[in-house]
Amino acid sequence: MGRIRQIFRLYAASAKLDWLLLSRDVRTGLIYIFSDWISAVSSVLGIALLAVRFEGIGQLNADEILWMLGFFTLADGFTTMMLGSCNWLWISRVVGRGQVDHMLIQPVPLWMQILTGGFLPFTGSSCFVTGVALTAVATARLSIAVTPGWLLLLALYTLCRMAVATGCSYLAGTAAFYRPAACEELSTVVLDAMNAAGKYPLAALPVWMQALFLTALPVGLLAYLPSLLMLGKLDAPAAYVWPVAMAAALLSASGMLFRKGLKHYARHGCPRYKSMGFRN
Amino acid sequence: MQGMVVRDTRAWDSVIELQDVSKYFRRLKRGGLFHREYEQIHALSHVDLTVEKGEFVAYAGPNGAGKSTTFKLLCGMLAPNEGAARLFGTDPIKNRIPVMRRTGVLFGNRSELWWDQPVRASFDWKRVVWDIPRADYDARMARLTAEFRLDGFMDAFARELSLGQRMRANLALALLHGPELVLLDEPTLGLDVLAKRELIQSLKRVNREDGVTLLVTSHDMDDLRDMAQRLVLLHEGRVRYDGSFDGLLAHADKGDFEAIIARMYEAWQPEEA
Repeated sequence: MGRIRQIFRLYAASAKLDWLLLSRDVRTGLIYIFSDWISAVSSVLGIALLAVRFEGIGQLNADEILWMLGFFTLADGFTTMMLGSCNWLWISRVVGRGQVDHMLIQPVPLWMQILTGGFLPFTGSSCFVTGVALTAVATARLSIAVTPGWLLLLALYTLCRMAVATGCSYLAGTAAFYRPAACEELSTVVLDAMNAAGKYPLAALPVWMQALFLTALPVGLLAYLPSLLMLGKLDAPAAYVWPVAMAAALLSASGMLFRKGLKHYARHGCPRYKSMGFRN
Repeated sequence: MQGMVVRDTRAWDSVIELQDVSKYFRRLKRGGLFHREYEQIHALSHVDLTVEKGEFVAYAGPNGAGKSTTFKLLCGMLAPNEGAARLFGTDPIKNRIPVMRRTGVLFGNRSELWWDQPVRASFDWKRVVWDIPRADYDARMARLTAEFRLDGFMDAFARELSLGQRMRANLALALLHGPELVLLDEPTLGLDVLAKRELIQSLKRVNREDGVTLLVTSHDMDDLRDMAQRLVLLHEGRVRYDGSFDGLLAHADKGDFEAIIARMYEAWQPEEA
């Protein structure tokens, strides 16, 4: 109970800092939020227009593609809203810039700092709000019966998407413990690549490529597979578990590697002598 | 008798204990496509150091002497290659959270203030993260605000502060949770004479009135002499002197303190070559 209370207190502290940031210059903050809305819509508009022009892609019609893009934006926005501050999502920046020291002097477990320190409910929620709106429109156009169970599944797959993206970012980002300056932007590269590929439906690809993108390079877990499952396009009950299993596996693997990286840092973590060391 | 922990009185009162601590780093000497040569840097070599509760210790040495490495070892950021580092009688890596609850840290050229937030926000944030009870927080804030004269800039953004104001705010922040030990890496760096004097007086008061143990590094020997009771001189990773300032002066030739220290550094140089 103490842990849960502590987590909520830390979320509240992060939310307060975000509110202070927004409220100190509301006009600039609103322009920033408005720009984010435009950016979020623009990033999926191309695929949506292609789907309309060709009356769908693969086994998904135009409205289903819109739903998938809505889910992608919603889940991406949720990830940014929960972990967007202080580069927690782009962990290689934190490590590569030698900022792990700031984490280590706080009397809070590292996992809790990562979980709560990036919360941006005000300045970082624009993409999430856009995603909710797009998903709502597509849901209405598809006349999907919205039940509590369906909403729970949507929430579960949103969390899985966050875990998959975070897991991949941390898997790559821990390389910054070993080559700090060289790998400082590795998490950014990985997440950008995943986000660029993750919004495309995989249906048009050969089966072996679909398998690849649902396992080793899990971009299909960001939106495609969850959308097929949510829209009832896959008649394989086992597939419902796959995003959850992959999310758990990626989080476990990244947690293990991060701990290994921290041990390496404790043994060799000197900015001055590290090959490809920390930048000043 | 297995599992029974026996502690002597000295260990009971020791806040910091370094026992035969060595820390090495590997530096790339020559890189190549197929062959790389490394050399070993001895950041700390067989360092023994005990700091008792309530002491105010100056930890001095030239650049690269191993001062920051010692601080990182004490905070559990680095692990020693040999020997053992203990804070409050415990391993700071294995028991990071309880150790950090009792320790305040300020690294040189670094700030724990939220850069794009009012100074007050950093204090409020720390209250939550360190889980400081509201009554304690209010009492300490009142005391620290008066001690470090924070009231003039509590609502200014951290990035707008002068160097002196930033250092005062950082020090107050490091003391906010009522630490028993404070590690300060070059707190007077870049401060003007007046700001330095004020800061030193504040640190002395914190040590004297609250019984806080302080370990402070600086390149300015006069500053260290002003504030600390004990001097530990480090050179190339080894403790070369551990005692009082007066004791050092008594054993050295005549001259001002800075000059004596400089001559000592020079004298130690050939020995290492």
